[in-house]
Amino acid sequence: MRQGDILIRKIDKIPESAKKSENKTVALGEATGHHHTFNGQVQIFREPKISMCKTGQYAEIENAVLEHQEHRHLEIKKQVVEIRNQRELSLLSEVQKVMD
Amino acid sequence: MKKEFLTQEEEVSLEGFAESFEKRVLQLPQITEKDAEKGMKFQYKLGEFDEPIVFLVDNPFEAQLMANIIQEILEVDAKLDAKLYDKLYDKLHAKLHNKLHNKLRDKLHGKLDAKLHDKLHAKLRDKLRDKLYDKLHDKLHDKKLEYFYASYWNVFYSYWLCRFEYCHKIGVLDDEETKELREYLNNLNNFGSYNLVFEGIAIVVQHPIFFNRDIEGNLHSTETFAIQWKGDFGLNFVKGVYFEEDLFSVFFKKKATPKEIMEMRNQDQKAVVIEKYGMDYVIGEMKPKLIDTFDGMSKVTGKKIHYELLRVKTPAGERNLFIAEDHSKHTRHPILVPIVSDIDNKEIIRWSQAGAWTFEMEEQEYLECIKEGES
Repeated sequence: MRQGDILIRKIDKIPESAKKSENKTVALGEATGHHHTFNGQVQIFREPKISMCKTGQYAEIENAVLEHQEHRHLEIKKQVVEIRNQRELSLLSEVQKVMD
Repeated sequence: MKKEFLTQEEEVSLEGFAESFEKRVLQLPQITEKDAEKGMKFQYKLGEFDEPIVFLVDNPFEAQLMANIIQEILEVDAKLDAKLYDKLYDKLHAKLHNKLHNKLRDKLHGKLDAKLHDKLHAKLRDKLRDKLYDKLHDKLHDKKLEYFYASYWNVFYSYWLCRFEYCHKIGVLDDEETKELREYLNNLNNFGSYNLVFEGIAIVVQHPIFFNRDIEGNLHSTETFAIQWKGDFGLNFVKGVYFEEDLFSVFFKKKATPKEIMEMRNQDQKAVVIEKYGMDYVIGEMKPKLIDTFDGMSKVTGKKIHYELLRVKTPAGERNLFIAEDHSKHTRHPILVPIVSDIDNKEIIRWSQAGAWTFEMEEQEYLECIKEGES
């Protein structure tokens, strides 16, 4: 599933290196202050960021909604997921994170 | 016996209720110091706090200055906890919430069928939970107006109150049960556009003198501030997207170059600017050549989705340009992508390969992810 610049990728299990986290916001808009935040029965896990896209954030979802001020809410049923960011090239071909 | 459905008459009145509630609160009355004092004393009393000294200021900037001074005085003179403000704010709002919301909610649950309750709540919320509140809240935070808090235009913060008022209107809640609520609603305008609370001191920010919205309710103006308070303090929004003064000047007061537009980092601002100038103007100089396209339907929004992959010329050489449509906002986002993917070393010739690259994954994996839906 995709919500703007965030992609939810189904995975088999949470990596052992990731630790439980209480913060349910998985992406914060650098420019707008808007955020992608889980609501509902969900446990977030975090490990250090792996790359620009691989945020090191995972969610064990029972029944939750991913909310954002600008996008339609995503209802997500029982599954384990990874949260990824989007990247792009600048005009000078530098790889940069997509910002909203 | 719980009320399980609305009569035809009630259904009709529900339609116009949220609208009239919104109009009532958005009439932008310029309140007096006396009004502000009345409103804040009522709030403090409801929260069981001592009466505060009330200051009425013209705009958020003045409120911030005053809040800084108060914070400094409190810290220096009384050596109070620096987090006093947060504590008081939390306590006041917890009490307001407990007193008004929880009490009425429990009453309502006893009298209204759960499904009907959810229907009423959703309908009123959808009509009232406007885009103004979130946007202003975020923007004032960005401007380091740290004391700004979540009651901007009480109508948006208080859509939950609206359903109780409606239930009173149709006789589900009686006069006695809604006495405090009605007093609260009568005071809404006296709370100002928002207010800052301290122990013994409250700062009320005057209502703005002007704001403009587009037909979707977003703050919007391409010529002046979209919202303005006295004292020449205002904020620029176009179609609900905030623009800092310098950016607003470059893209709306002057004519921006395609390069300036392509270099914009914020996708929301970029999409609004592209809508103004047109995609052809923005990417025309890059000599675009269409190499793949896709039309489908989003499972989440039920709306059409459209992707394009173009080959373009950039200052750094030939690249791919992936144009994704955001169907929540009806905007188009051009994203530059390399010719060869660093994931599988294959040439990117399909929209799905380009989409996959942007999320650092393989094409098939990306297609699996997005088939579930997009918003």
